[in-house]
Amino acid sequence: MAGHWGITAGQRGGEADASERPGVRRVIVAAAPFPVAVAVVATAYARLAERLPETLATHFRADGHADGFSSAGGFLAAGIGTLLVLGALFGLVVLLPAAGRRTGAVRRTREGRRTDGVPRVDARPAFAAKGPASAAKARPGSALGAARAVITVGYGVAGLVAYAFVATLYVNAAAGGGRAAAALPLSQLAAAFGTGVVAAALGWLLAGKDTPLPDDGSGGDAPRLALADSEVAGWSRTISSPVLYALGLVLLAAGLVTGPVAGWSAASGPIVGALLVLALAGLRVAADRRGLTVTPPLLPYPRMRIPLERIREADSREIAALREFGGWGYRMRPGRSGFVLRSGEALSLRLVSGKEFVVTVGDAATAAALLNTLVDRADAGPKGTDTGPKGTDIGPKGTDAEPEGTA
Amino acid sequence: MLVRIDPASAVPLGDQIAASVRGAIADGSVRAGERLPAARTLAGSLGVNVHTVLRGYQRLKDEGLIELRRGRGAVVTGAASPALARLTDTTAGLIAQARALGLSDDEIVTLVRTGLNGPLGAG
Repeated sequence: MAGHWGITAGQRGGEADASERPGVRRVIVAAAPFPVAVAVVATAYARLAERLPETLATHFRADGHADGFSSAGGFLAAGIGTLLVLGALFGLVVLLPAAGRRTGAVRRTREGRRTDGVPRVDARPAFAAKGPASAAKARPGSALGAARAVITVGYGVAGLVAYAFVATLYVNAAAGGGRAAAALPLSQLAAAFGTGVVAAALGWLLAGKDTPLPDDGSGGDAPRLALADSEVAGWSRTISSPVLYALGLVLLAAGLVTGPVAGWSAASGPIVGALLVLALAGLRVAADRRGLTVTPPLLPYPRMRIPLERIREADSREIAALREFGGWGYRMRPGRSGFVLRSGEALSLRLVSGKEFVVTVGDAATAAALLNTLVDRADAGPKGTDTGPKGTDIGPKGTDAEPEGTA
Repeated sequence: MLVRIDPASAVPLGDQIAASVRGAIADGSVRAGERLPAARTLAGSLGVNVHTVLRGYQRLKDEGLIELRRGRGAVVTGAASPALARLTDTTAGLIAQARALGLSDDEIVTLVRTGLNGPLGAG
């Protein structure tokens, strides 16, 4: 009996804890594969220790032959260290947004904005009756929904790294002390990736479903841009992040300098990283009849476009890059994603799916007002009112101008 | 930068685009050194032909507000101050008003030259 009570109390305590600190379970789940991987690597080492030579082959060419060597102890330390650091990183990444998310959810719930232009007095019962789509369904306590993607990647990385280390230990043991004889065929690399994928799938399952951000059902009170029926408008602006440009250039320089010295396969990491960072260091953001488009400043591709049909409402708001998104670049967080190049003014889209998409850009209020107007227009369009046909008229007009222009 | 055009208006679309950009420079939302969207991008955005946008850009270039460089696109010049953009706008208004009164181009130039030689409407 006493035991029973003890368990119940424990459960209740756990629940209370979960509602106050929803991130804890997720953080544990996120970090868990790394200690497990450490244990696997350590066990393998202990089992093989007698057969392992002093110096291990630790780096292999594409044909499977060894071209890099290090001491057995150093290799084990490097393996365990890498896994522990990765574990801490993944745990932290899942933990950090939890704090920002929670406060965001609470603030949103408190604001309780109205929906679809229905007067505020009627809004509450109206949107309660509208069902799950617009009801504020997410409890503040469960706000941490999903670092599911992060956790999945974490498991994959843990599986991949652990397999690589264990496989290296085994081939060294199999070579029977002749370190140069140790070979790691490419098939082992494929097996490592396979292990990573399986581990990632496990992580995906363990992470559980992402809880969407509370839908505040806001609408109607967002700014609009006065636009005549026949008028067409487009807004665009470039943004750039000096920090990311500098980081990208440093990485690129590092890659180009180390390339000739250490081999281009070693330099490919920094170079690819540099290109990724540089690709996100500057962006052009455009809002027009097609929705919101984000592209590199000078090239039309790669392109991310959110069509008007997917936008419920646009607004401008202040963003704290580190606290809300855990960093800079293209950020994905539970219930929200977007391009975060700095803190400060950002265009915030509330999507039909209930999620939020942000781009840190100046003059966001104008873009938001324009998008809201265009969304209104698109909503009115299919009902056969005057805006629809007019909208489609613009296209032909544009092509009509072609002969005139080329002549 | 917000560009708005009205296909139903009598004003050529290229001029409307130029007017939008000029307005953006005038109110300071586009600054010197800033790059305008590529003509193709803006054309896609507004659903007009690329040449229409290029006509508008050419006009802004003639006014000294932007530079057009191959490969670099349209960049707002250092000389393009908000005040200059406003002045260009005012001039456009002057011309429109004069034409509405039925003045010929020569008559408008004469009017401006007279103004340069001595203050108009002062006496």
